[in-house]
Amino acid sequence: MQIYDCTLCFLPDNFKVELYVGLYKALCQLPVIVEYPLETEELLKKADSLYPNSKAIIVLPPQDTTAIPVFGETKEVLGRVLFPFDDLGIAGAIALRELEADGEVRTAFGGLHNTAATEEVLMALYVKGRLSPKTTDFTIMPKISTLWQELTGKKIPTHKAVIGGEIFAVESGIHVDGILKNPELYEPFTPEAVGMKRKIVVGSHSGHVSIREKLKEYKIYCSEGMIDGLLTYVQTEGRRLKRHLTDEEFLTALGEEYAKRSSYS
Amino acid sequence: MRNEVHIVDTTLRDGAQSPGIAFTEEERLDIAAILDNCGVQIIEAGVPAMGPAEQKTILKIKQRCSKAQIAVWNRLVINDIKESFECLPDIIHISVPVSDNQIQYKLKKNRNEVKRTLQECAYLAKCYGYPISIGFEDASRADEAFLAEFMVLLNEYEPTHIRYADTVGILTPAQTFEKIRRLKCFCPYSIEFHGHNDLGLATANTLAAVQAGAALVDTTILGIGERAGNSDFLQTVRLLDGLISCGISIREAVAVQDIFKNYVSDEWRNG
Repeated sequence: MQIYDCTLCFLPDNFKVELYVGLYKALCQLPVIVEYPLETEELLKKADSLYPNSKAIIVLPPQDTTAIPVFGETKEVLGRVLFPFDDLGIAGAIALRELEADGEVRTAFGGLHNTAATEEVLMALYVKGRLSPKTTDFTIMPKISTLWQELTGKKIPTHKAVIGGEIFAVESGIHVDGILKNPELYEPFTPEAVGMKRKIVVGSHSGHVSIREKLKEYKIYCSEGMIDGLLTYVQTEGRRLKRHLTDEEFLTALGEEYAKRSSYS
Repeated sequence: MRNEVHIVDTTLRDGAQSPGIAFTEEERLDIAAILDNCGVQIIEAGVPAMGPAEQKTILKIKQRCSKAQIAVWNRLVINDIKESFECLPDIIHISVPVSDNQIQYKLKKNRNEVKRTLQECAYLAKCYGYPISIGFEDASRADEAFLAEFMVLLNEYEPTHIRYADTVGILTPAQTFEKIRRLKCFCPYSIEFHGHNDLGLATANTLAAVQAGAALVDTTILGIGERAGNSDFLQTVRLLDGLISCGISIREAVAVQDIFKNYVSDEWRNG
């Protein structure tokens, strides 16, 4: 079982050296072999000594177009590194299948160059217990995402599996309630495992419990009447904006609610 | 493998309850209409327990759709079922948390109480003449022996199908295949698979479930949903194309997605 990450081979040419080296170093923290183009070897050497889990490559082989796999059947190992092309949106599954059969795959962070996403394949192996939690550390992922975005000029979708900025946001009343009772109820792995934090956001689906929790976060006390007022405001604004409210927007609403109350009295 | 699979679209229920998604009533009616038009067999239209406004919208959705069956989602709560009657749905879906984790921490009940409550809810719905479907919530983390206990109990209530939900998206396709195959051995009802995309595997898991014999699969348009979302409607149609008939062509699914993009913010549109 081996993963080759080829992210560095698909970056635009005119990159900032400092960012490139940063991404190289960060990727090398993952349990993969990091492949980089031979022409950047000098540059990496100059910046730092090379990591043992990385190697220079000259030309990448073409990607394998994906035949639809039959999941019930035993998989024969390919005998070379599988480099799946994500034309059907299941490259990650195809890579994982090869790894489960003890084969080798090539992936790229964020699914760059339309291939399987390194972070998804790693996380699947982790959740399945194929990577030891003691020796596996994915807290570097947000840093990789930041550098990746700067170097590629692309934005990682907020709901992208494993690395999306909003995947641990909870808004709906029922889920906030559940998360507070026991986070495991609605989370496949902890946010901390991938260097993120859980956050309760308020918007059209919020209930009283979300507002109370948000106020607790800011250590602010409010009467039940004010909570009602805030909830109505947050729900209406969420519907109008078609997104959840930012923390600033919530605090502004809170300020207005306070002002309203004090002018009554 | 079967020669036909049904798409259950839950954009208006599981999709609609995720952060940052908010549809107006008019939008919900439009979305239901385009899904109905393109041949989706079941539309999960909403959660009646959310109140009278929601119930009215679902009723309007029901009136707007001519082909698709309208299903409504219920917690394992008697009053929820009563609220559902206001919507005159084609199917009353009852979601039963089945993992010990969910039973203990979310419901604060024990297994026997869960079974008893399910019987009460199912009985009530059947008394009023509604077909029911049962959802096994968090099934991927549940004890299979416990799932088997439900089969005997459900005998009387003849559910149209059983939903196997990978609620937190932790299954891989190989596991999905194995779990659905085993479920089929002791489940006399049609099986519906509900996947989440936390490991980027939702559509692949959906495919694996179909290969193992699932008769219905859940989708949302653009894959909208909690966390990393649900099984993407267009991708699912694409994946099933040529393998099994789902009654919807890729061209139609593309058209649905294009229209739907008008109803969500950029963060989902470009995802």
